[in-house]
Amino acid sequence: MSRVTGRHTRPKKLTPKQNVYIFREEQVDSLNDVDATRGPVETGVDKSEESEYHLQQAIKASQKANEKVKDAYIPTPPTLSSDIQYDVLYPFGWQQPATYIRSSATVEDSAGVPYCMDEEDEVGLLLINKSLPSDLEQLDEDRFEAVMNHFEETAQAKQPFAAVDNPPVLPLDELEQNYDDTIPEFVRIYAGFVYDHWCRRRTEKINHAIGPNLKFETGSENDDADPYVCFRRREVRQIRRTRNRDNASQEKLKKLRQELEQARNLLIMVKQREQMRRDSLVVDKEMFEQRHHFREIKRKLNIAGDDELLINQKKQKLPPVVTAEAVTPMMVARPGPELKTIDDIRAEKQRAIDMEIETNVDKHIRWNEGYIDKTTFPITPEEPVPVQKPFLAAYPATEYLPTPPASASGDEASKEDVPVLDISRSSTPFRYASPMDDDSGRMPSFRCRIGRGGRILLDRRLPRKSSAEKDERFRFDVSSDEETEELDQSFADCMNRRTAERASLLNSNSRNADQSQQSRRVPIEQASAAAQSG
Amino acid sequence: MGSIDPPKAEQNGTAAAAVAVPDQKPAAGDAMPPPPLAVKHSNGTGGEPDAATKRRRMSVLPLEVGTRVMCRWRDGKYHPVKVIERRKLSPGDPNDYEYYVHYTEFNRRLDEWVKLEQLDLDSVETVVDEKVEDKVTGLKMTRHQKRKIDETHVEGHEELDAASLREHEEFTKVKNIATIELGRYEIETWYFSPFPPEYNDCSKLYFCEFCLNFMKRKEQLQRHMKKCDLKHPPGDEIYRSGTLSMFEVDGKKNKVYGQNLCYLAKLFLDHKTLYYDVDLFLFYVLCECDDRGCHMVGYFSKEKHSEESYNLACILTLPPYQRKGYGKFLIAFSYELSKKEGKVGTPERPLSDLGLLSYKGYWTRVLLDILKKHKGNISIKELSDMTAIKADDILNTLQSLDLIQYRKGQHCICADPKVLDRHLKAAGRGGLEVDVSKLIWTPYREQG
Repeated sequence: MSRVTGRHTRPKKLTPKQNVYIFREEQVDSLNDVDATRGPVETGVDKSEESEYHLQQAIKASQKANEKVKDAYIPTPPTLSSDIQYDVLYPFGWQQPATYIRSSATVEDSAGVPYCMDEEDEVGLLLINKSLPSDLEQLDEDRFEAVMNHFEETAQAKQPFAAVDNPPVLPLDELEQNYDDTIPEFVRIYAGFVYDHWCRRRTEKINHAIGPNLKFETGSENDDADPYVCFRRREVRQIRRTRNRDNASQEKLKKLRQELEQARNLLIMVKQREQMRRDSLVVDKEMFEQRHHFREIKRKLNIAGDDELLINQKKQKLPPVVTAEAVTPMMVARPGPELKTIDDIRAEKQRAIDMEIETNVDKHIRWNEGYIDKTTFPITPEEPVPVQKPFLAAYPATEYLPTPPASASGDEASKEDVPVLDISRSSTPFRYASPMDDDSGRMPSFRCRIGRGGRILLDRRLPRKSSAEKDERFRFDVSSDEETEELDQSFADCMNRRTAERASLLNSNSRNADQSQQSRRVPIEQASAAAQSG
Repeated sequence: MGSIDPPKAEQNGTAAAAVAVPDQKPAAGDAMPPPPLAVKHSNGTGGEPDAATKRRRMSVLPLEVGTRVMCRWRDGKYHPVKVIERRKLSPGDPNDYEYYVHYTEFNRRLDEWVKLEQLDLDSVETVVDEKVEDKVTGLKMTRHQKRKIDETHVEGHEELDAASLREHEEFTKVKNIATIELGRYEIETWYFSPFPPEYNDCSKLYFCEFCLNFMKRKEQLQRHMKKCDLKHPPGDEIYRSGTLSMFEVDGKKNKVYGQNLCYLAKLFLDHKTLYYDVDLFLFYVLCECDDRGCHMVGYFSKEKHSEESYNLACILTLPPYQRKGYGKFLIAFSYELSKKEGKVGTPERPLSDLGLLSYKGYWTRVLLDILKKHKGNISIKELSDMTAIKADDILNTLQSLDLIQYRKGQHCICADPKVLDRHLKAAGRGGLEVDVSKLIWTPYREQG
């Protein structure tokens, strides 16, 4: 019992590869742990026959191994000794060769004339022999069979579908047309005498072959159910398993064909090219000769001028076209390079307006430098930091891809913390009267600076929760957001950043108000991007 | 009809199969017929037949096809049969029929023509229950029919095909040839074989022992024997040991021989099909050789390329040579060929009852011989590699012998030598041994 309760899982299936321990008798204690879940063993015998009495008896006998099992036996219909004259039919005198027999002879090769006389033929042969003229030798059985066989074979060759369409029996003269060197002389001699007998037998059989023939497929519908139709040609069965492989090889063949076709096209084109080249050479040569002729005439007649006709003038390629394309490769040149589209003009106008606004904004910011507008709706929002480029909100990538800054020019690189002008600015640069909208608070924003030695620094600001939180953070300056961010950074980065932050903390304490305000307001992560030295 | 001679005829000792019959089941025979029927039978014959019984008996005559009745078999006992077919003996008497019956408990090979006096008319059950009928005689499908059903199931014509199967079944349920003469033996056939319809009117066929051509008349065989100069199967000898030789015949090269062989074999194999051509098969013909020639004792066929790792399609030991170990030899030989090919093999299904017993015996003997000697662990795969027996067959064999057990979370084989010896004894004699050193053979390879 304990074993049964102790076994919680179903016994695993025994897989062929698994090692199985063989126990000897001293290790065998009991037989009560036979796997009960095992199904009945598959016998492989047809289900309807499995229950047959004699088989069951025999199986039972083999399983009760300790009993006497002599009677495990399935009875079969009896076999008797034949009353045939065995010694006559199967005479002695065959010697088995010393080496293994190798034979390629078929039954047809070895069995002599295929036609085999039957009782009717015996009677017929007697009659034929009686009717033979006295100067002719009596026809023996072998020769008779040969003649009959010739008739049968010729008929089969001339009327291959006699079994189906029942044509009339072949006349003798048609049979005689088929004599050739392989037909022995006696067949011709006796053919006329045997024909009547053969013709009669054929007619009785509706011109079917006299001997019993195997029934082969006739191509009709009821072939399938006809138990006497045997040995059908086996149609090639589609093997499902190899379909994948077939597909693969089909693909390969397709590809091969394509490639061959490509190669062929290439060669055709090469051929065309070479032909054209040859043609052009011919033309050149003719031209040269014509010019030569022309010059001769000119000299002869002393005509001056028209010398430019004697040499090939190189065609001047149109420079404006080339330059136009070179200068504005990015422009969509659909309507032609010269024609400006309305879109272009509009874009230009828009750009001009944007520039104007930009400068005005900058101007306004510069005015307010060092001042904080604490009114409810400040004209200058708190955020925009005058000198430093403000953080740009991250926009959905589908609209504005964050383009890397244009590589800074030399004089810009020399200055530190020069804001990189980003053209892809918010479409609403004015924020004079409106409070900062919520979106900008939520969206993470980024800033790019060029640091010492051309390092490019990418600053990131993450969304802030609320203004109430702001004040708290001013006090401690290290945001909890930042802590979580650190997880992403590599350890070295973290260390660098921490020290930088500490330093900035110290600085911010000692520095003047506006500076501390900056560092306070911007809980920055300074992720040093890969340096793009300008 | 020779087939219904009383059991005495079997005692002439030529056939080993027949020898064992009389002493076979002194005790077991009683248990065979279902009890209620047996009672009925004893009631009917117990008293003297009065007029009423006699009238009742006559009223059921002639018996209809499908009738169930008790019939005296060659063991002298009555067994339930079903009437499959009937035929008139004399045109005058309206009730003078003989009946072709199927013993419902026995294999179809024992179906036979019986005379009225063998039937116990008191036990007649005229109610023909179609369902029961299907269960008992059932649709016994040949390999081809199975295959066909599989195919048509895909196409969706299964009903139509079942009908044609039934029609086929109608044709083939009565043996068309009663006996054949082959070599020195006259052999009763076991099943229908689709010889050309011209042969249907003769109850006996004469076979040439060497080329296996078959003829309707003894005189024709005599004529044929004068012409036929074949003394062995028309192929290559690949094994010779003592008087025993094995020939390999390619069905493609020797179509006629292959076809003849199939016709002959079908007489003794229920599930064989002659549906397809013999081109795709190799025939391994086992012969006993003497100074008359090589006499076929049995054969097995094998697909040239088997997708399902079959190493044997059909196997037959001719009835006169049965129970002499040739079958086991053929089976062992088929596995030796598989070993040479480096493949694992299994016989094509379904097996016949005799086939199952032979295979079970072979598998048991081979596997237990290894287990007896083997030390330590072994996997089924290793056993399979050693013997070329398919892993499933190994598992089934060991499980049916209750040798595989499950203890402490894992399977193990209980190889108690005493148990093994007992099973080995039950598995019977090993048959004739295949001497591998005498096998000269290369696996079949398609030319070109």
